[in-house]
Amino acid sequence: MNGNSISHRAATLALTAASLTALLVAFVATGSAAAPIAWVDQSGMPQSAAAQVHAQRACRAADLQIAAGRAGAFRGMAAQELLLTNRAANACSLAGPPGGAAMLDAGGQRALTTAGTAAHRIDLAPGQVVRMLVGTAATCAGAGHPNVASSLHLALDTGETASVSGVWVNAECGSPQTILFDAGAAPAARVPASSLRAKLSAPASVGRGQTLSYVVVLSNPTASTITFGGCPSYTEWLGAGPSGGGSRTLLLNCGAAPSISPGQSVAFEMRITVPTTMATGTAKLSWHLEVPDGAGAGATVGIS
Amino acid sequence: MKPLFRLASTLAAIPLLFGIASSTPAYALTNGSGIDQGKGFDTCQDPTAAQMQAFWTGTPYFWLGTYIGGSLMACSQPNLSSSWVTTVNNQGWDFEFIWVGPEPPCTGYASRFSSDPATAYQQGRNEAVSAWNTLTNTLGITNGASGTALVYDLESSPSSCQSATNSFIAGWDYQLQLTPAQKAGVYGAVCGSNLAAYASISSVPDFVWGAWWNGNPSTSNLDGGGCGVPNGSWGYHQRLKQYQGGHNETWNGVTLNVDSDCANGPTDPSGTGTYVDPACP
Repeated sequence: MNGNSISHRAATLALTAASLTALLVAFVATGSAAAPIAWVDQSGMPQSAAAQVHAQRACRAADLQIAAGRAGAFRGMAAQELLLTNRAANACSLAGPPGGAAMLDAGGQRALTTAGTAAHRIDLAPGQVVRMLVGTAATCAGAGHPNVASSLHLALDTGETASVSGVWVNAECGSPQTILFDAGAAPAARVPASSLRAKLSAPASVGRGQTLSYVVVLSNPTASTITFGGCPSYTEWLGAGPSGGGSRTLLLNCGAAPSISPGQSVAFEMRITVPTTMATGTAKLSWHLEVPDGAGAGATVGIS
Repeated sequence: MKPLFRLASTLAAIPLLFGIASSTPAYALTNGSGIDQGKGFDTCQDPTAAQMQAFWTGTPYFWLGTYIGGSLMACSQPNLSSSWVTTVNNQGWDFEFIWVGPEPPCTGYASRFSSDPATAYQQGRNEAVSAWNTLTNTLGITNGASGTALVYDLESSPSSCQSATNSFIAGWDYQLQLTPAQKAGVYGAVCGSNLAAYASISSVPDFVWGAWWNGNPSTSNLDGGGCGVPNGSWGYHQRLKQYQGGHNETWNGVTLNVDSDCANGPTDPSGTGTYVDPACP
């Protein structure tokens, strides 16, 4: 009995020490000296989706800044990157990648065509960039003796021609073809809270039907204090793939931390209920702040 | 001993003496790798953090093929930094880092390594040093990127210059496998890049990432119908597969042009690989 009692006390002490250590580790891991700010169950508002760009006119040569990017290798082809930036004050469109011709340094030219996967319209917001990759076959019998075009003539939808020099398009194994035509992210109207960074700490596993309690640390990497103009919302999601999972948007309990000083971090407690019907195995947890270009964080969590 | 690494580290420190660009990153990704058996994707340009957040929620993807440099990296990478890598990792993502240096001499790429095997071998080592410097300096990966997986993008390998290519890849592997060793990988078309050949070179890749766009995500399925990777090669969590080429995918309002991939091999950083997608092994 006595031995058992001592063992029991030792076990209890060990458990307490382990719990404290775990707690300490949790707080240290969050980077916050204080306990996380308590979670509140208060509905929030998802950020309005960014309005789709709908241009009313075609891009003119004067609207576009066209620059030669990198000469590289992509999807088995020799590729030349072109970057087309809309420098106009309003949106304009490209019905597809501009066609035209590669002007060979040795004389002559090769027509520039478009691969089917790249043939689509792009509407460009002011400041937005479109990436075009002009590819040529990189292998053929006797390859290794480049027949290079250093300039491209691009035929725009308006009937104008734009020239871009400083490219490296090798026509020795075939004619050039646009293989990628892709719009970059439209510039977002950022707010101070857009600069916050997020890190999430969650337990390795949780049972179905239980509440998953986790911590999100928001940190300010800038040199200025970031003040919330009213507490922002956040959206959390827990699921195992495209067909499952659930999300909800709640208000961040920022009343106790209305601002975050430069270099400082604040930890927030979060909770989400694991559906009883959720599949066991590994699930994704995601969290993001509902401000333009807001911070996001995530982890994988085992569901038992 | 990694003599080239020591030289590179010394050279990397020289700009600091003149006040040019600090090499001390504000953020640091943990070194090492773990065995991942989930789906991933790769894009020409590394997406923005906001785009990556959109592609995390409710998608089958757990890792990103991430271009970090090399003379033939086809897209400029305005997002790539230690801060971006850390932010995206904090979103839950793992990485497969990709280096795109010179291609074989008998191809039509803008940058090609030597047809002389001895020179090509040294060039492979040099590329490994440059890639390692990017991992440790630009991306701030800790502990000399020990154990970090890193892939050479070999877009093609015609048989007419296979000897030089074998030497180049052996040099890449050898250099990365010196202490602090990384996981040396090679990406390429299972047949067009002759991946099977690198199982018998002097320094064998730790893993391969084979491209075979047949729509079958299984990493066991890399034989290319006979000309690819035999089933007995790289069989111990040493395979990734790119099973679908360029196509647009839209998740949570964000559209990216992606290649689809499956892993049964190392992804970065350490501690990855908690999820097993039954389609991947």
